[in-house]
Amino acid sequence: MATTRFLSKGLNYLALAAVCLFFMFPMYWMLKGSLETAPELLSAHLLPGSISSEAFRELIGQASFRQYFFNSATVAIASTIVSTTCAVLAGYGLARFKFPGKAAMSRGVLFCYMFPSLALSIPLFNIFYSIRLGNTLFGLMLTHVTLSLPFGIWLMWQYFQTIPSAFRENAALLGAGRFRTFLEVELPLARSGLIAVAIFAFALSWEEYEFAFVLITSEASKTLPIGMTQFVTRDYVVWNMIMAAGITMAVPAFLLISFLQKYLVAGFTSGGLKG
Amino acid sequence: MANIVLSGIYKEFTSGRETHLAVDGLNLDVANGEFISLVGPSGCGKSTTLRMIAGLESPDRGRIFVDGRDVTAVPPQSRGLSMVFQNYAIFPHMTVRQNIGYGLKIAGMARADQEKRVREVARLVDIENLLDRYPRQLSGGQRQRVAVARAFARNPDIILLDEPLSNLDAKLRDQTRAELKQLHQRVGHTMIYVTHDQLEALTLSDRIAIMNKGVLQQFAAPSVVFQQPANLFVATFIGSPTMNIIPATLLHGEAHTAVHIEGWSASLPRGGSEWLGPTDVSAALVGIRPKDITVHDGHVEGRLPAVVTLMEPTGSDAILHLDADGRALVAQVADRFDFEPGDKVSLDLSLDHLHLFDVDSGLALYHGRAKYGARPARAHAGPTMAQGAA
Ligand SMILES: Nc1ncnc2c1ncn2[C@@H]1O[C@H](COP(=O)(O)OP(=O)(O)O)[C@@H](O)[C@H]1O
Ligand SMILES: [Mg+2]
Repeated sequence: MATTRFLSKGLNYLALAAVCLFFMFPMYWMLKGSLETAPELLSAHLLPGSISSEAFRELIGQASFRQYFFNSATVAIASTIVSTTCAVLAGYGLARFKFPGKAAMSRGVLFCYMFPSLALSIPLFNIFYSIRLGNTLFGLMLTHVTLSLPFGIWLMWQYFQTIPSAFRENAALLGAGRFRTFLEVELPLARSGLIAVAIFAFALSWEEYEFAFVLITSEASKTLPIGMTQFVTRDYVVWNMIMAAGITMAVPAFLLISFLQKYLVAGFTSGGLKG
Repeated sequence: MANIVLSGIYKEFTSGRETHLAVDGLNLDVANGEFISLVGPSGCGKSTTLRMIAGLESPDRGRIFVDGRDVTAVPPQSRGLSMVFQNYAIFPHMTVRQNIGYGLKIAGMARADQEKRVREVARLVDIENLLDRYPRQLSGGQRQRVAVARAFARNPDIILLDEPLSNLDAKLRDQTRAELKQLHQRVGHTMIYVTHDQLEALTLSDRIAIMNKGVLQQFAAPSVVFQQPANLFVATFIGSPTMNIIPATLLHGEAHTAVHIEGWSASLPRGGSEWLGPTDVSAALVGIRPKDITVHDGHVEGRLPAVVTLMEPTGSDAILHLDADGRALVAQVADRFDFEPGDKVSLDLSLDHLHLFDVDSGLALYHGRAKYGARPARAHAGPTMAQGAA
């Protein structure tokens, strides 16, 4: 009995370890590569030969890299704020109000969500250049909002529907008007949904490549994913720099998301109903 | 303090192709400071009625008046009344203090006054030591108190309660029920209390409105609905164990009407105030409460013969399930627990406590003249018929 249980537990862990290894290995490889010098890296040993921060120092020393990082952060943060705000307001409207064309609009949201986003790139390019938003961070930010908003609206719409009407009704009876009820009662109750939307919007914008590639041409407006490609030249790939840039991209996103996730802990909003 | 008048209220719900009449022509007037209950089986329209008074639903037809002012179209936030929801709906992201004080904050009360008032009502329901907790850190009973405290905090004229005790266990329910009654006596708001529990309604209210399928059946003091039920529905809904209903034939003479049940008959004097309906019908339903049946050992001539099928002792009483010639009856006897299934007994039905109901309409035709522990029904006396019903 005891042995079989021990054995099955052991097998479980073995399987878990294998899966972890499979998914974590690229991360490890990226970290290892970023800490090696270029010649060492090409020898492709499993363990780093020596540890050096050369790649990072050189990367951060480059003014263009700092510019890319700043551009990326600006676009990601701005599009997260715009997308989340619009998603919350639109989702609330769809969940709470009756208005003509509501059915068509909600179906439209779902359709936009399913629409292959790459098919938007040429039309967006045309539109943005004709209204002089081409090659601007503002245009790129709007593009990212376009991409993340349908899902955000859909999620907030669903989320607001799960909030029992008794909270809203009770707030009204206590004298709260509609906007106050939204701001002080319903929005806090929808916090988990809001954070999920924010994480989604941020992650999408932070790593977005195709639209940035199509819309941005000037060096000063490039974002990190585009900027990184300059380490791939015609004759030589600067692997350790690419790896280091990858790490500098992953770490802030990871930190931000884990910070936001702390607030996703279920149970925060429980306990208001029933006995 | 305020009085409420509901006049000709209709409310329909449409879901898909079906329409469902939830409240059908309801008229109700609640006096200033009165505690009334809306009682009836689940789905009879109690919550809908309460929500229309609160302004959370609007009636399809009819008007609602508060202190003579027509409030039918006034939104809930401007009606100045509070409600305790069945599921409490206390805000999970606010502390107990913030929950109780939320209405005060909206009303623009100064911070110090808010704190004072919050403490005051928290003391009233005994949750002063919980003010800094979040709802998830409270037990069901404590949450219920928070909901009550929040409703009382703004000192509204009218407090509506929708089955506020139904999520509590039996012991806590009894205790909280008594506390609610004390609270009402101390503060004196006009209160409308929704429950499906007739005992709760009997113990708490000055008057009870009994509803069935959206229609008001009777609206009167607890002693009246218990002793003079307007119809068969009220008679069988109020009181526990349930009133026995036995088909009977009537034979009308000069001065008396003879009531015949298989194996038993009695004669009731005609023309008195006990008679309410037409006195010429030839069939009726006899209604008699279990405690108004006296049980004697053995078969005695002139009494209704029966056989004991089951005895349920309740501590002080025994509930006897009987078979009288194929009819199932229930009797409640005090201080005797020596009955066995199969015992032959004979029954006396107390004529002073006998009711007759019309076979077709169910309306009361006759009420025996006896009053249990008679006391005139007054609006604010809070008659305690609980003992009679228990
Ligand atoms: N929002 C609603 N939509 C459709 N039907 C409803 C709605 N609210 C109540 N009803 C129906 O109206 C009837 C009365 O409901 P309710 O007033 O909640 O009953 P009670 O509180 O007496 O149990 C029920 O049959 C219920 O199904
Ligand atoms: Mg109800």
